[in-house]
Amino acid sequence: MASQFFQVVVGGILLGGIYGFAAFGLSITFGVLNILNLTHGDFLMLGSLVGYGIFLHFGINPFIIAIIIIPLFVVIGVGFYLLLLKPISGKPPNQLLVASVLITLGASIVIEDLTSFFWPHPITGIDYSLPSLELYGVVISETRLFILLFLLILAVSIQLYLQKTYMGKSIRAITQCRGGAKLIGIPISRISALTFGLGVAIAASAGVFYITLFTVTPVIGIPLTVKYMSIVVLGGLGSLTGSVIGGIILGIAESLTAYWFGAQWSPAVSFILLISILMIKPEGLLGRQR
Amino acid sequence: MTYLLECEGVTKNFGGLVALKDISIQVTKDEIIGIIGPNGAGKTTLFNIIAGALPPSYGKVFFKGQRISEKPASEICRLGIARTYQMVRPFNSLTTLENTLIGLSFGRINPPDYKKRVIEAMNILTFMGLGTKANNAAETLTLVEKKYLEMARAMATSPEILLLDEVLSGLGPAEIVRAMDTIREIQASGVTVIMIEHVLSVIMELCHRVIVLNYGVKIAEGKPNEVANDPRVVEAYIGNVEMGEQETLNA
Amino acid sequence: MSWIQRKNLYLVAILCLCVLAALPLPASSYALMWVFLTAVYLTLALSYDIVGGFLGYMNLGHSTFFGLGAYSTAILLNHDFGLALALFLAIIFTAAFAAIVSYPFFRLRGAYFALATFGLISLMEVFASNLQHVTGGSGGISTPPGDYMVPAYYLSLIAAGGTVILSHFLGRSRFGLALLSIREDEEVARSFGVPTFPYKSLSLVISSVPAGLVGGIYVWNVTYISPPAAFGLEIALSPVVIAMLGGTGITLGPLVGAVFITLIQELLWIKVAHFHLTIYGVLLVLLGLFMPGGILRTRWLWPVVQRLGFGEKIDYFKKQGTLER
Repeated sequence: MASQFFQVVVGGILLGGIYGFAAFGLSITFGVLNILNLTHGDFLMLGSLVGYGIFLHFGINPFIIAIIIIPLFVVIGVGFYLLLLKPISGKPPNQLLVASVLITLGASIVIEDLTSFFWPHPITGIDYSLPSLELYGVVISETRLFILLFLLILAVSIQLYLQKTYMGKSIRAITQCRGGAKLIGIPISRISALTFGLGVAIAASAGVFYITLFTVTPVIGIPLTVKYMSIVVLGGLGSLTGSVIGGIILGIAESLTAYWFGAQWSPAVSFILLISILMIKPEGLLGRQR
Repeated sequence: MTYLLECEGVTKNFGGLVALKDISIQVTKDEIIGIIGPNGAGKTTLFNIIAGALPPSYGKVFFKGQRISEKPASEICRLGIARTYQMVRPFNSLTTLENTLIGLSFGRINPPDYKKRVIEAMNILTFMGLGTKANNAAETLTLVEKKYLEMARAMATSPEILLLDEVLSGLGPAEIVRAMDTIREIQASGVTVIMIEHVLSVIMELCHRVIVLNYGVKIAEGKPNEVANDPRVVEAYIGNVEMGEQETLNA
Repeated sequence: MSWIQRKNLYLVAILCLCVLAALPLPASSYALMWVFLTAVYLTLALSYDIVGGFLGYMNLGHSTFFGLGAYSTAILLNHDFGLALALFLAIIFTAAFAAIVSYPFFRLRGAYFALATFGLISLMEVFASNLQHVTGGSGGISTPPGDYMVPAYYLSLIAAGGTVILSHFLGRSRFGLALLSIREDEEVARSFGVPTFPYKSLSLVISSVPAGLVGGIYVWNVTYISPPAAFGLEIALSPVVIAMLGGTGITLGPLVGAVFITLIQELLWIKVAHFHLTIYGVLLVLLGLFMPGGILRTRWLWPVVQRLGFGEKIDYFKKQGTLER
């Protein structure tokens, strides 16, 4: 029994790693743009579809795919920002909220509807697996372990990038104080576009791993966005550690729920978690409220 | 005796920063009290605590002997304490009249009859010189008009105490004279006024009593003339006060 | 343009009502169904607008109330309750639910509120699909069959009309003014005596009642409800799209939006089998980019709306004039 329990917890941690990584992308976008990007989950879905396509045609290792699609999705993200979000970026907060929800929700629906027209069937996933590892009676999928390690490396390099480079420092400055950042001459508009691109690319990259482990359908986007948003609320804005911890908490909670009550209940977990956090502390555990 | 308003050892910490330290103030009816002090002295924080926008970290606030420091801001307003904001914050897309009607509908005395409320609101607006702007959206007003709207909205709640947070800043000399008259009339109608002000000549002329804050501590209290000659006050202001204002202090 | 007057508008409204009241005599059940659905959407959009427009909180989960009303009515009807009692209990249940969720939800603002309410629908869908013995699971739930089209048609019209009246008077009441002030600046509203939290909760409860009611009427007429029909994306989005399209915060807005949307549906949906959601999505994007104020607030229409006295800014001068006379 105990080993089974640990099995579930370990599975949850592995799942949570992917969650945390993807949520981090949402977290930096929200921090810099002050726009709730409801398309985040859809870019993850697109990332997994593109990754799947590349895998089918070229048979490249998914780990490499996850890296090579990053520049592609940075470009897509920047384009999306310039086309749809930049025009509204100057509005006062009240109108910005309404406009941004309308635009990103609308875009998300368009992406999902068009995708489900062209990919009517769920995609079972990239057939890529490594032998499992057994440790003190707990079986650990090596694929998942490698994915987790890989994500950690990716996350740490992004974190280093955010700490060392001008772009990274600007992102953090804008997250903390938009007005101040503007005053000292940070080009907010350009940084916003790049941040959005980066956020989208992170989501897409996470999507490649997602499809290695799970079934992907075109409609997973919005539920995933809700999931990631609850992680952001849990972990705070712009904090990688916060996102990863939040993701792991959610991953474990979902695995345990599936274990105790059945898999059909796990979609409810993130929402119940979100509500309970907000009941305790409206700003989120480590976050700020606007 | 019970005072109209009494702060008892009010302290406010923001994290490690002490914004207010052990402030005790007593206010009796029909006074005009000035609160002065350099920037960051905690004046607006004190207003926020009295009006219930912030809870004090320690200490209590009493209004007519009733403890209000734990009550929500809306209830404190209905008890009879109204405020204005230093940075004007009208309800931008509502009209001037609607702004005033909010105060009339939820203040200390609110006529149940809609027509009476509208008439009353128009009276207040006319008194504040905004009668012709009643149907304009608040965001279209000039800064001076917005300052008057702040006062109109506060007066519409029929307060017993009016907290004015730098209503005179940003006004020209002629407008200041007019505003001072308005404040006098408000006081004459039976409202106790507590005002934060940087224009010291106004404080000297209007206020019956002055309280000086510096770094969250009350360093002096008394009649305007006494306070102006208090060595601690002069010390707190030296280097902070421009020549003109210093002359006023010594006058 | 002198015909644009309040008086004439009332005439048009009364004329429309007469036509609608007499419609069941000659019209096909298809036409009745069309009007019925328009009335349902209109009620949803108008009640959404109480929170979304007046209060300024974007409640993306408004259709939760529709779904709850539908499901509870269906379950009650299956337990041999009469329609009136079933609808009444369903409304009570929906309103109680709204009162309960308002507590955690209104501790949130802005994007967080929008997101949490959006998440609420997905939660409801999970519950509806999983609580098999109560809701019939993902297969949905059927109610006693029968032809209820004509009475349901009148009921839906009454519900829609009632909601129009509710919204109209709300905009002119002390309560409505308080909601507007919260929309503008919540902290200032509080310091001017508006009890913000109770009022926010109350507005959510009020907005839940019409939505729950039409949910019940809908399921009674259609005799079937499933998780996607009650809590799916399309029903969740329609009140938001309709209200935003017409113009939020004005009673007339959702009215215009509802007619507009159902016309689009009638013209496009039938001819194009796919991309219904895409059209919704593109509409949302265009609204966000170019018309956040809705159709009514466009440059050409807004003066007309104001002239009719339906703008947000009520002409107090006129009222004052009549008072002094």
